[in-house]
Amino acid sequence: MRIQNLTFAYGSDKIFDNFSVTIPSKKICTVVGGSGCGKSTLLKLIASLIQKQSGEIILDETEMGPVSYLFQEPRLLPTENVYSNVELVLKSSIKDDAERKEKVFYYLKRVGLFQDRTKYPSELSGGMKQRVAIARAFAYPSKLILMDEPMQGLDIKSRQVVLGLFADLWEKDPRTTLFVTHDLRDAITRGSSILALGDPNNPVDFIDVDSMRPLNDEKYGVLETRLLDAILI
Amino acid sequence: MKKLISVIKTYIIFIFSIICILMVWQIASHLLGSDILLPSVFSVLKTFVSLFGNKTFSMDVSFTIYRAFKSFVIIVISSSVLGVFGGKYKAIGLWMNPILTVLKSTPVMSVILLAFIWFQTGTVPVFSAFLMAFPIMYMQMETGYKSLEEEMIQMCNLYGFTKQDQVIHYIIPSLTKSFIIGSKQTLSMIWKVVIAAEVLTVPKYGVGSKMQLSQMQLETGSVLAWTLVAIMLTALGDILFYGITKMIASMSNSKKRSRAL
Repeated sequence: MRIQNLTFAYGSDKIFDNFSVTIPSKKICTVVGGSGCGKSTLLKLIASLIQKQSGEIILDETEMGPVSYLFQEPRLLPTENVYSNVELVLKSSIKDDAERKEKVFYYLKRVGLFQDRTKYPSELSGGMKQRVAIARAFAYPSKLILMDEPMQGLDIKSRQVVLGLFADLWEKDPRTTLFVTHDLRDAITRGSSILALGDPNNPVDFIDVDSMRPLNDEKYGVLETRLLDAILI
Repeated sequence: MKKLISVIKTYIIFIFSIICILMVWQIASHLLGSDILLPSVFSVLKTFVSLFGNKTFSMDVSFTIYRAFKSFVIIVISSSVLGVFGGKYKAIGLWMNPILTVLKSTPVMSVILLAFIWFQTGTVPVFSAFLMAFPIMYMQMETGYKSLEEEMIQMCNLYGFTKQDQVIHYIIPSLTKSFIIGSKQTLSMIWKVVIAAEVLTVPKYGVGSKMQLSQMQLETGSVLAWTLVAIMLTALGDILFYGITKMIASMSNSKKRSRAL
Protein backbone atom coordinates (compact mmCIF):
# COMPACT_ATOMS: atom_id res chain seq x y z
CA MET A 1 0.00 0.00 0.00
CA ARG A 2 1.37 3.37 -0.98
CA ILE A 3 0.26 6.54 0.70
CA GLN A 4 1.30 9.56 -1.31
CA ASN A 5 1.21 13.24 -0.27
CA LEU A 6 -1.70 12.65 2.06
CA THR A 7 -3.12 15.82 3.60
CA PHE A 8 -5.85 15.83 6.20
CA ALA A 9 -6.98 18.28 8.88
CA TYR A 10 -9.76 18.46 11.44
CA GLY A 11 -10.74 22.10 10.92
CA SER A 12 -7.53 24.11 11.39
CA ASP A 13 -5.83 21.20 13.18
CA LYS A 14 -3.56 19.64 10.58
CA ILE A 15 -3.02 15.91 11.13
CA PHE A 16 -1.22 14.95 7.90
CA ASP A 17 0.61 17.35 5.63
CA ASN A 18 1.97 15.76 2.43
CA PHE A 19 2.47 12.51 4.27
CA SER A 20 3.92 9.61 2.28
CA VAL A 21 4.79 6.05 3.23
CA THR A 22 4.79 2.56 1.72
CA ILE A 23 3.32 -0.27 3.77
CA PRO A 24 4.47 -3.79 2.80
CA SER A 25 1.75 -6.16 1.57
CA LYS A 26 0.66 -9.22 3.54
CA LYS A 27 2.69 -8.14 6.56
CA ILE A 28 1.79 -6.65 9.91
CA CYS A 29 2.75 -3.01 10.19
CA THR A 30 2.37 -1.64 13.70
CA VAL A 31 1.57 2.05 14.09
CA VAL A 32 2.74 3.96 17.15
CA GLY A 33 2.60 7.60 18.15
CA GLY A 34 1.41 9.98 20.82
CA SER A 35 -2.23 10.85 21.39
CA GLY A 36 -3.74 12.93 18.60
CA CYS A 37 -0.90 12.29 16.14
CA GLY A 38 -3.29 10.66 13.66
CA LYS A 39 -2.98 6.91 14.20
CA SER A 40 -6.72 6.26 14.21
CA THR A 41 -7.26 8.93 11.55
CA LEU A 42 -4.88 7.08 9.25
CA LEU A 43 -6.91 3.87 9.59
CA LYS A 44 -10.17 5.75 9.01
CA LEU A 45 -8.72 7.35 5.88
CA ILE A 46 -7.61 3.97 4.56
CA ALA A 47 -11.06 2.48 5.27
CA SER A 48 -12.69 5.56 3.68
CA LEU A 49 -14.62 6.27 6.88
CA ILE A 50 -13.43 9.85 6.46
CA GLN A 51 -12.38 11.57 3.26
CA LYS A 52 -8.85 12.80 2.63
CA GLN A 53 -8.39 16.41 1.54
CA SER A 54 -5.65 15.59 -0.93
CA GLY A 55 -3.15 12.88 -1.78
CA GLU A 56 -3.58 9.26 -2.69
CA ILE A 57 -3.88 5.91 -1.01
CA ILE A 58 -2.92 3.31 -3.60
CA LEU A 59 -3.74 -0.25 -2.67
CA ASP A 60 -1.89 -3.25 -3.94
CA GLU A 61 -3.93 -5.77 -5.94
CA THR A 62 -3.92 -8.13 -2.96
CA GLU A 63 -5.39 -5.41 -0.74
CA MET A 64 -8.31 -4.27 -2.86
CA GLY A 65 -11.76 -5.19 -1.57
CA PRO A 66 -13.51 -5.40 1.75
CA VAL A 67 -11.78 -4.28 4.95
CA SER A 68 -11.88 -5.95 8.37
CA TYR A 69 -11.78 -3.35 11.10
CA LEU A 70 -11.05 -4.14 14.74
CA PHE A 71 -12.20 -1.22 16.84
CA GLN A 72 -11.15 -0.17 20.33
CA GLU A 73 -14.48 -1.56 21.53
CA PRO A 74 -15.57 -4.92 20.07
CA ARG A 75 -18.78 -3.44 18.55
CA LEU A 76 -20.76 -6.67 18.66
CA LEU A 77 -24.48 -6.68 17.94
CA PRO A 78 -25.92 -6.79 21.47
CA THR A 79 -29.05 -8.79 20.61
CA GLU A 80 -27.26 -11.41 18.51
CA ASN A 81 -25.39 -14.35 19.99
CA VAL A 82 -21.72 -15.12 19.38
CA TYR A 83 -22.53 -17.35 16.41
CA SER A 84 -24.74 -14.78 14.66
CA ASN A 85 -22.24 -11.98 15.24
CA VAL A 86 -19.75 -13.89 13.12
CA GLU A 87 -22.23 -15.46 10.72
CA LEU A 88 -23.81 -12.17 9.65
CA VAL A 89 -20.61 -10.88 8.04
CA LEU A 90 -20.55 -13.96 5.82
CA LYS A 91 -24.11 -13.70 4.53
CA SER A 92 -23.22 -11.75 1.41
CA SER A 93 -20.23 -13.90 0.45
CA ILE A 94 -21.44 -17.42 1.33
CA LYS A 95 -25.02 -18.13 0.31
CA ASP A 96 -25.07 -21.77 1.34
CA ASP A 97 -26.19 -22.10 5.00
CA ALA A 98 -24.22 -25.28 5.73
CA GLU A 99 -21.02 -23.89 4.23
CA ARG A 100 -21.46 -20.65 6.18
CA LYS A 101 -22.03 -22.55 9.40
CA GLU A 102 -18.92 -24.63 8.84
CA LYS A 103 -16.82 -21.51 8.39
CA VAL A 104 -18.27 -19.83 11.50
CA PHE A 105 -17.62 -22.98 13.54
CA TYR A 106 -14.04 -23.09 12.27
CA TYR A 107 -13.28 -19.56 13.44
CA LEU A 108 -15.12 -19.93 16.73
CA LYS A 109 -13.09 -23.05 17.46
CA ARG A 110 -9.90 -21.21 16.58
CA VAL A 111 -10.63 -18.42 19.06
CA GLY A 112 -11.83 -20.91 21.69
CA LEU A 113 -15.45 -19.76 21.76
CA PHE A 114 -17.18 -22.71 20.14
CA GLN A 115 -18.77 -23.76 23.44
CA ASP A 116 -19.95 -20.19 24.03
CA ARG A 117 -21.53 -19.71 20.62
CA THR A 118 -25.09 -19.39 21.96
CA LYS A 119 -24.10 -16.73 24.52
CA TYR A 120 -24.89 -13.06 24.06
CA PRO A 121 -22.30 -10.25 24.30
CA SER A 122 -23.65 -9.22 27.71
CA GLU A 123 -22.66 -12.67 29.01
CA LEU A 124 -19.05 -12.39 27.82
CA SER A 125 -15.94 -10.85 29.39
CA GLY A 126 -14.06 -8.05 27.59
CA GLY A 127 -11.44 -10.50 26.32
CA MET A 128 -14.08 -12.92 25.02
CA LYS A 129 -15.88 -10.11 23.20
CA GLN A 130 -12.63 -9.07 21.53
CA ARG A 131 -12.05 -12.72 20.53
CA VAL A 132 -15.46 -12.71 18.82
CA ALA A 133 -14.45 -9.50 17.06
CA ILE A 134 -11.22 -11.19 15.89
CA ALA A 135 -13.14 -14.25 14.65
CA ARG A 136 -15.48 -11.88 12.78
CA ALA A 137 -12.56 -9.96 11.27
CA PHE A 138 -10.86 -13.11 9.98
CA ALA A 139 -14.07 -14.81 8.85
CA TYR A 140 -14.93 -11.77 6.76
CA PRO A 141 -13.41 -12.19 3.30
CA SER A 142 -11.32 -9.03 3.55
CA LYS A 143 -8.01 -8.21 1.99
CA LEU A 144 -6.93 -5.73 4.62
CA ILE A 145 -7.12 -5.76 8.42
CA LEU A 146 -7.12 -2.48 10.31
CA MET A 147 -6.72 -2.71 14.09
CA ASP A 148 -7.35 0.41 16.11
CA GLU A 149 -5.97 -0.47 19.55
CA PRO A 150 -8.37 -3.39 20.02
CA MET A 151 -6.52 -4.61 23.14
CA GLN A 152 -7.01 -1.34 24.98
CA GLY A 153 -8.92 -1.89 28.18
CA LEU A 154 -8.08 -5.59 28.47
CA ASP A 155 -6.18 -6.96 31.45
CA ILE A 156 -2.67 -8.32 30.83
CA LYS A 157 -3.76 -11.96 30.67
CA SER A 158 -6.67 -11.36 28.28
CA ARG A 159 -4.46 -9.14 26.19
CA GLN A 160 -1.85 -11.87 25.77
CA VAL A 161 -4.53 -14.45 24.95
CA VAL A 162 -6.18 -12.20 22.36
CA LEU A 163 -2.83 -11.23 20.80
CA GLY A 164 -1.80 -14.90 20.67
CA LEU A 165 -5.03 -15.89 18.94
CA PHE A 166 -4.69 -13.03 16.51
CA ALA A 167 -1.09 -14.06 15.65
CA ASP A 168 -2.20 -17.67 15.23
CA LEU A 169 -5.05 -16.77 12.83
CA TRP A 170 -2.87 -14.32 10.95
CA GLU A 171 -0.14 -16.96 10.39
CA LYS A 172 -2.75 -19.23 8.75
CA ASP A 173 -4.26 -16.44 6.66
CA PRO A 174 -1.84 -13.51 6.28
CA ARG A 175 -3.36 -10.23 5.08
CA THR A 176 -1.94 -6.74 5.02
CA THR A 177 -2.50 -5.48 8.55
CA LEU A 178 -2.12 -2.11 10.20
CA PHE A 179 -2.08 -2.49 13.96
CA VAL A 180 -2.31 0.70 16.00
CA THR A 181 -0.94 0.25 19.50
CA HIS A 182 0.32 2.31 22.42
CA ASP A 183 2.50 -0.53 23.59
CA LEU A 184 6.04 -0.30 22.17
CA ARG A 185 6.73 -3.91 23.12
CA ASP A 186 3.74 -5.10 21.06
CA ALA A 187 4.81 -2.82 18.23
CA ILE A 188 8.32 -4.29 18.15
CA THR A 189 7.44 -7.96 18.71
CA ARG A 190 4.28 -8.19 16.57
CA GLY A 191 5.13 -5.97 13.61
CA SER A 192 7.19 -6.79 10.54
CA SER A 193 7.57 -3.06 10.30
CA ILE A 194 6.75 -0.09 12.50
CA LEU A 195 5.30 3.23 11.46
CA ALA A 196 6.09 5.81 14.14
CA LEU A 197 4.04 8.98 13.76
CA GLY A 198 5.30 12.30 15.07
CA ASP A 199 3.85 15.72 14.34
CA PRO A 200 2.80 16.90 10.84
CA ASN A 201 6.16 18.65 10.29
CA ASN A 202 8.22 15.61 11.11
CA PRO A 203 5.68 12.92 10.46
CA VAL A 204 7.22 9.58 10.12
CA ASP A 205 9.86 7.09 10.97
CA PHE A 206 9.40 3.78 9.18
CA ILE A 207 11.36 0.88 10.59
CA ASP A 208 11.75 -2.48 8.90
CA VAL A 209 11.89 -4.69 11.98
CA ASP A 210 12.12 -7.96 10.04
CA SER A 211 15.50 -6.93 8.63
CA MET A 212 16.79 -6.55 12.19
CA ARG A 213 15.65 -9.93 13.48
CA PRO A 214 16.58 -11.88 15.52
CA LEU A 215 16.26 -9.13 18.09
CA ASN A 216 18.67 -9.34 20.97
CA ASP A 217 18.50 -7.08 24.02
CA GLU A 218 20.82 -4.52 22.44
CA LYS A 219 18.86 -4.25 19.17
CA TYR A 220 15.59 -4.14 21.10
CA GLY A 221 16.93 -1.25 23.22
CA VAL A 222 18.09 0.64 20.11
CA LEU A 223 14.69 0.17 18.48
CA GLU A 224 12.86 1.30 21.58
CA THR A 225 14.98 4.44 21.86
CA ARG A 226 14.46 5.21 18.17
CA LEU A 227 10.70 4.84 18.52
CA LEU A 228 10.60 7.01 21.61
CA ASP A 229 12.64 9.67 19.79
CA ALA A 230 10.23 9.58 16.86
CA ILE A 231 7.13 9.77 19.03
CA LEU A 232 8.37 12.32 21.54
CA ILE A 233 9.41 14.99 19.04
CA MET B 1 -33.36 -20.74 45.51
CA LYS B 2 -32.37 -17.09 46.06
CA LYS B 3 -34.51 -16.12 43.06
CA LEU B 4 -37.50 -18.07 44.43
CA ILE B 5 -37.20 -16.31 47.80
CA SER B 6 -37.03 -12.95 46.02
CA VAL B 7 -40.18 -13.80 43.96
CA ILE B 8 -42.06 -14.93 47.11
CA LYS B 9 -40.98 -11.70 48.87
CA THR B 10 -42.27 -9.62 45.94
CA TYR B 11 -45.65 -11.38 46.04
CA ILE B 12 -45.93 -11.00 49.83
CA ILE B 13 -45.26 -7.23 49.56
CA PHE B 14 -47.76 -6.98 46.66
CA ILE B 15 -50.51 -8.80 48.57
CA PHE B 16 -49.75 -6.84 51.76
CA SER B 17 -50.08 -3.57 49.79
CA ILE B 18 -53.52 -4.62 48.46
CA ILE B 19 -54.64 -5.67 51.95
CA CYS B 20 -53.58 -2.21 53.26
CA ILE B 21 -55.63 -0.42 50.56
CA LEU B 22 -58.68 -2.57 51.33
CA MET B 23 -58.28 -1.99 55.07
CA VAL B 24 -58.08 1.80 54.66
CA TRP B 25 -61.13 1.65 52.39
CA GLN B 26 -63.11 -0.49 54.86
CA ILE B 27 -62.17 1.74 57.82
CA ALA B 28 -63.09 4.92 55.87
CA SER B 29 -66.41 3.36 54.82
CA HIS B 30 -67.14 2.37 58.43
CA LEU B 31 -66.30 5.86 59.72
CA LEU B 32 -68.42 7.63 57.07
CA GLY B 33 -71.27 5.20 57.62
CA SER B 34 -72.94 6.03 54.29
CA ASP B 35 -73.25 3.70 51.28
CA ILE B 36 -73.70 6.71 48.99
CA LEU B 37 -70.45 8.35 50.08
CA LEU B 38 -68.34 5.20 50.34
CA PRO B 39 -69.81 1.71 50.35
CA SER B 40 -67.97 -1.11 52.14
CA VAL B 41 -65.47 -3.37 50.40
CA PHE B 42 -67.81 -6.34 50.67
CA SER B 43 -70.77 -4.46 49.24
CA VAL B 44 -68.70 -3.31 46.24
CA LEU B 45 -67.37 -6.83 45.68
CA LYS B 46 -70.94 -8.12 45.74
CA THR B 47 -71.98 -5.54 43.14
CA PHE B 48 -68.88 -6.39 41.11
CA VAL B 49 -69.81 -10.08 40.99
CA SER B 50 -73.40 -9.20 40.10
CA LEU B 51 -72.15 -7.18 37.08
CA PHE B 52 -71.20 -10.42 35.33
CA GLY B 53 -74.85 -11.40 35.32
CA ASN B 54 -75.79 -8.09 33.73
CA LYS B 55 -77.27 -8.56 30.22
CA THR B 56 -75.11 -5.90 28.58
CA PHE B 57 -71.93 -6.56 30.61
CA SER B 58 -70.09 -8.42 27.85
CA MET B 59 -71.13 -5.78 25.27
CA ASP B 60 -69.98 -2.93 27.55
CA VAL B 61 -66.62 -4.53 28.18
CA SER B 62 -66.18 -5.63 24.55
CA PHE B 63 -66.87 -2.15 23.17
CA THR B 64 -64.44 -0.54 25.61
CA ILE B 65 -61.78 -3.12 24.74
CA TYR B 66 -62.49 -2.62 21.02
CA ARG B 67 -62.09 1.18 21.33
CA ALA B 68 -58.91 0.83 23.39
CA PHE B 69 -57.45 -1.75 21.02
CA LYS B 70 -58.33 0.32 17.94
CA SER B 71 -56.69 3.40 19.48
CA PHE B 72 -53.66 1.35 20.50
CA VAL B 73 -53.09 -0.05 17.00
CA ILE B 74 -53.52 3.36 15.34
CA ILE B 75 -51.21 5.08 17.84
CA VAL B 76 -48.52 2.39 17.83
CA ILE B 77 -48.30 2.28 14.03
CA SER B 78 -48.49 6.02 13.36
CA SER B 79 -46.28 7.21 16.21
CA SER B 80 -43.66 4.50 15.66
CA VAL B 81 -43.30 5.44 11.99
CA LEU B 82 -43.32 9.18 12.68
CA GLY B 83 -41.07 8.77 15.74
CA VAL B 84 -38.44 6.92 13.71
CA PHE B 85 -38.58 9.56 10.96
CA GLY B 86 -38.45 12.30 13.61
CA GLY B 87 -35.33 10.71 15.05
CA LYS B 88 -33.72 10.15 11.66
CA TYR B 89 -34.54 13.48 10.02
CA LYS B 90 -34.00 16.59 12.11
CA ALA B 91 -36.49 18.63 10.04
CA ILE B 92 -39.34 16.21 10.82
CA GLY B 93 -38.38 16.22 14.51
CA LEU B 94 -38.48 20.03 14.57
CA TRP B 95 -41.76 20.09 12.66
CA MET B 96 -43.34 17.71 15.16
CA ASN B 97 -42.16 19.68 18.23
CA PRO B 98 -44.93 22.32 18.38
CA ILE B 99 -47.61 19.69 17.68
CA LEU B 100 -46.32 17.57 20.57
CA THR B 101 -46.13 20.58 22.90
CA VAL B 102 -49.77 21.44 22.14
CA LEU B 103 -50.92 17.84 22.58
CA LYS B 104 -48.97 17.36 25.82
CA SER B 105 -50.32 20.53 27.43
CA THR B 106 -53.97 20.28 26.30
CA PRO B 107 -56.24 19.05 29.13
CA VAL B 108 -57.85 15.67 28.44
CA MET B 109 -61.32 17.12 29.05
CA SER B 110 -60.85 19.84 26.40
CA VAL B 111 -59.95 17.22 23.83
CA ILE B 112 -62.93 15.04 24.73
CA LEU B 113 -65.38 17.98 24.70
CA LEU B 114 -64.09 19.22 21.34
CA ALA B 115 -64.17 15.71 19.90
CA PHE B 116 -67.74 15.37 21.13
CA ILE B 117 -68.67 18.41 19.04
CA TRP B 118 -66.90 17.08 15.97
CA PHE B 119 -67.57 13.31 16.00
CA GLN B 120 -70.13 10.64 16.81
CA THR B 121 -70.08 9.31 20.37
CA GLY B 122 -68.34 6.03 19.50
CA THR B 123 -65.49 7.79 17.71
CA VAL B 124 -64.78 10.30 20.50
CA PRO B 125 -62.94 7.85 22.82
CA VAL B 126 -60.71 6.63 19.98
CA PHE B 127 -59.94 10.14 18.74
CA SER B 128 -59.29 11.49 22.26
CA ALA B 129 -57.07 8.54 23.17
CA PHE B 130 -55.12 9.06 19.96
CA LEU B 131 -54.43 12.73 20.68
CA MET B 132 -53.52 12.11 24.31
CA ALA B 133 -51.34 9.03 23.91
CA PHE B 134 -49.67 9.80 20.57
CA PRO B 135 -46.94 12.05 22.08
CA ILE B 136 -45.93 9.36 24.60
CA MET B 137 -45.20 6.73 21.97
CA TYR B 138 -43.77 9.23 19.49
CA MET B 139 -41.25 10.58 21.99
CA GLN B 140 -40.13 7.12 23.05
CA MET B 141 -39.50 6.10 19.45
CA GLU B 142 -37.81 9.37 18.51
CA THR B 143 -35.47 9.18 21.51
CA GLY B 144 -34.87 5.48 20.81
CA TYR B 145 -33.86 6.20 17.24
CA LYS B 146 -31.60 9.08 18.28
CA SER B 147 -29.78 6.82 20.70
CA LEU B 148 -28.74 4.38 17.96
CA GLU B 149 -24.95 4.28 17.97
CA GLU B 150 -23.27 5.74 14.92
CA GLU B 151 -20.30 3.43 15.61
CA MET B 152 -22.48 0.34 15.24
CA ILE B 153 -23.89 1.58 11.93
CA GLN B 154 -20.30 2.19 10.84
CA MET B 155 -19.39 -1.39 11.81
CA CYS B 156 -22.39 -2.74 9.86
CA ASN B 157 -21.34 -0.78 6.77
CA LEU B 158 -17.70 -1.88 7.01
CA TYR B 159 -18.66 -5.54 7.33
CA GLY B 160 -20.94 -5.39 4.31
CA PHE B 161 -24.34 -5.67 6.06
CA THR B 162 -27.21 -5.07 3.67
CA LYS B 163 -29.70 -2.33 4.67
CA GLN B 164 -32.21 -5.08 5.43
CA ASP B 165 -29.79 -6.86 7.77
CA GLN B 166 -28.92 -3.58 9.52
CA VAL B 167 -32.61 -2.96 10.15
CA ILE B 168 -33.36 -6.54 11.28
CA HIS B 169 -30.26 -7.18 13.36
CA TYR B 170 -29.41 -3.77 14.79
CA ILE B 171 -32.03 -1.04 14.36
CA ILE B 172 -35.20 -2.96 15.25
CA PRO B 173 -33.65 -4.76 18.29
CA SER B 174 -32.24 -1.43 19.52
CA LEU B 175 -35.67 0.20 19.24
CA THR B 176 -37.47 -2.68 20.95
CA LYS B 177 -36.88 -1.36 24.47
CA SER B 178 -38.29 2.08 23.56
CA PHE B 179 -41.19 0.38 21.76
CA ILE B 180 -42.10 -1.76 24.77
CA ILE B 181 -41.83 1.14 27.27
CA GLY B 182 -43.80 3.43 24.95
CA SER B 183 -46.48 0.80 24.30
CA LYS B 184 -46.96 0.11 28.02
CA GLN B 185 -47.32 3.81 28.84
CA THR B 186 -49.59 4.32 25.82
CA LEU B 187 -51.81 1.42 26.82
CA SER B 188 -52.36 2.66 30.37
CA MET B 189 -53.08 6.19 29.07
CA ILE B 190 -55.52 4.80 26.48
CA TRP B 191 -57.66 2.97 29.08
CA LYS B 192 -57.97 6.14 31.15
CA VAL B 193 -58.86 8.41 28.21
CA VAL B 194 -61.22 5.94 26.51
CA ILE B 195 -63.20 5.40 29.73
CA ALA B 196 -63.19 9.16 30.53
CA ALA B 197 -64.51 9.88 27.03
CA GLU B 198 -67.19 7.22 27.45
CA VAL B 199 -68.23 8.82 30.73
CA LEU B 200 -68.66 12.20 29.05
CA THR B 201 -70.21 11.08 25.77
CA VAL B 202 -72.17 8.05 27.03
CA PRO B 203 -72.15 5.78 23.96
CA LYS B 204 -74.72 2.93 23.99
CA TYR B 205 -72.20 0.37 25.25
CA GLY B 206 -69.06 1.02 27.27
CA VAL B 207 -67.61 0.70 30.78
CA GLY B 208 -67.53 4.52 31.04
CA SER B 209 -71.19 4.79 30.02
CA LYS B 210 -72.18 2.42 32.80
CA MET B 211 -70.11 4.41 35.31
CA GLN B 212 -71.91 7.58 34.27
CA LEU B 213 -75.36 5.95 34.56
CA SER B 214 -74.47 4.54 37.99
CA GLN B 215 -73.25 7.95 39.14
CA MET B 216 -76.47 9.62 37.95
CA GLN B 217 -78.46 7.12 40.01
CA LEU B 218 -76.16 7.72 43.02
CA GLU B 219 -75.11 4.05 42.97
CA THR B 220 -71.61 4.58 44.35
CA GLY B 221 -71.13 0.86 44.81
CA SER B 222 -71.80 0.33 41.12
CA VAL B 223 -69.42 3.17 40.13
CA LEU B 224 -66.70 1.51 42.20
CA ALA B 225 -67.52 -1.93 40.80
CA TRP B 226 -67.20 -0.61 37.22
CA THR B 227 -63.97 1.12 38.28
CA LEU B 228 -62.75 -2.28 39.41
CA VAL B 229 -63.64 -3.64 35.95
CA ALA B 230 -61.60 -0.80 34.40
CA ILE B 231 -58.63 -1.57 36.67
CA MET B 232 -58.85 -5.25 35.78
CA LEU B 233 -58.99 -4.46 32.07
CA THR B 234 -55.82 -2.34 32.43
CA ALA B 235 -54.10 -5.09 34.40
CA LEU B 236 -55.17 -7.78 31.90
CA GLY B 237 -53.97 -5.58 29.04
CA ASP B 238 -50.58 -5.23 30.74
CA ILE B 239 -50.34 -8.97 31.41
CA LEU B 240 -51.31 -9.81 27.84
CA PHE B 241 -48.80 -7.33 26.44
CA TYR B 242 -46.07 -8.66 28.75
CA GLY B 243 -46.93 -12.23 27.72
CA ILE B 244 -46.82 -11.42 24.00
CA THR B 245 -43.45 -9.59 24.24
CA LYS B 246 -41.99 -12.42 26.35
CA MET B 247 -43.25 -15.00 23.85
CA ILE B 248 -41.80 -13.10 20.86
CA ALA B 249 -38.45 -12.66 22.66
CA SER B 250 -38.32 -16.32 23.61
CA MET B 251 -39.23 -17.44 20.05
CA SER B 252 -36.57 -15.16 18.59
CA ASN B 253 -33.94 -16.43 21.07
CA SER B 254 -34.70 -20.08 20.44
CA LYS B 255 -34.56 -19.48 16.68
CA LYS B 256 -31.13 -17.85 17.04
CA ARG B 257 -30.01 -20.64 19.34
CA SER B 258 -31.10 -23.38 16.98
CA ARG B 259 -29.20 -21.71 14.14
CA ALA B 260 -26.03 -21.80 16.22
CA LEU B 261 -26.31 -25.49 17.15
